[in-house]
Amino acid sequence: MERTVAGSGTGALVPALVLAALAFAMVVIAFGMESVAPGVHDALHDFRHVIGMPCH
Amino acid sequence: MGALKESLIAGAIAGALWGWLCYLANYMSGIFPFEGSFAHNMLSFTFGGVVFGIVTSGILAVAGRFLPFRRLLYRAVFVSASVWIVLRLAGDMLSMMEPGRYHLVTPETMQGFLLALALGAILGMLLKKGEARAAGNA
Repeated sequence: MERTVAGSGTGALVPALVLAALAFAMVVIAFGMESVAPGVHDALHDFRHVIGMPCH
Repeated sequence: MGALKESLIAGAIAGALWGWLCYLANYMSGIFPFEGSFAHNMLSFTFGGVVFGIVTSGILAVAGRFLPFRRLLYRAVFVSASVWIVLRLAGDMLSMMEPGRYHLVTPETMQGFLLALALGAILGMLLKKGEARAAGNA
C-alpha cells in the first residue's frame, strides 16, 4: 500500500512540476520579462502582439 | 496520472497548431505588422503556442471536472479563454503601473481573444479525438 501511494505520488510529481514551470514560462512570455529571461522580449515580440498582450 | 501526461502531450500538439494559426490569422488580418523574419516567427510562434497549449491542457486536466460544462470542447474553450483573460487583466495592471512600457491595442486584444477561443477549440477537438481512440481500443 505504501509503495502504491508513493509510486503514484512520484508519477504525479513530474507532470505537475512541468506544468508549474511552463505556467511560469507562459507569464514570462506574455509580458516579455527580460529580468527573468534576457532576450525573451525580442524573441517572442511578434507573438505577444498577435495574441493581444500588452507591449511597447 | 497518465491522463495528465496524455493531456499535456495533446496540449503541446494543439499549441503548435495554434501558434501557426496565430501567425496565419495575423498575416491575413494585418492587425500587427510583423517585425521578425518568417523563420524567426515560425520558431517563436511554435514555441509560444506549445507553452500556452500545455498550460491550458494541464489546467483543463486538473480543474476540468469542476467546470459546469458537460462537453470537453466547451471546457477547453472556457479554460483557454480564462487563462487569456487573467493574463490580459494582469497586463492591464502593468499598463497602469508602467504606461510607458506596456501599451494596450484594442484590435490586437480582439484578435487575441478570438485566438484564445480557437486554442480551446483545437485542444478540445484533439482531446475528444484521443478519448474516442482510447474508447475504440478498449
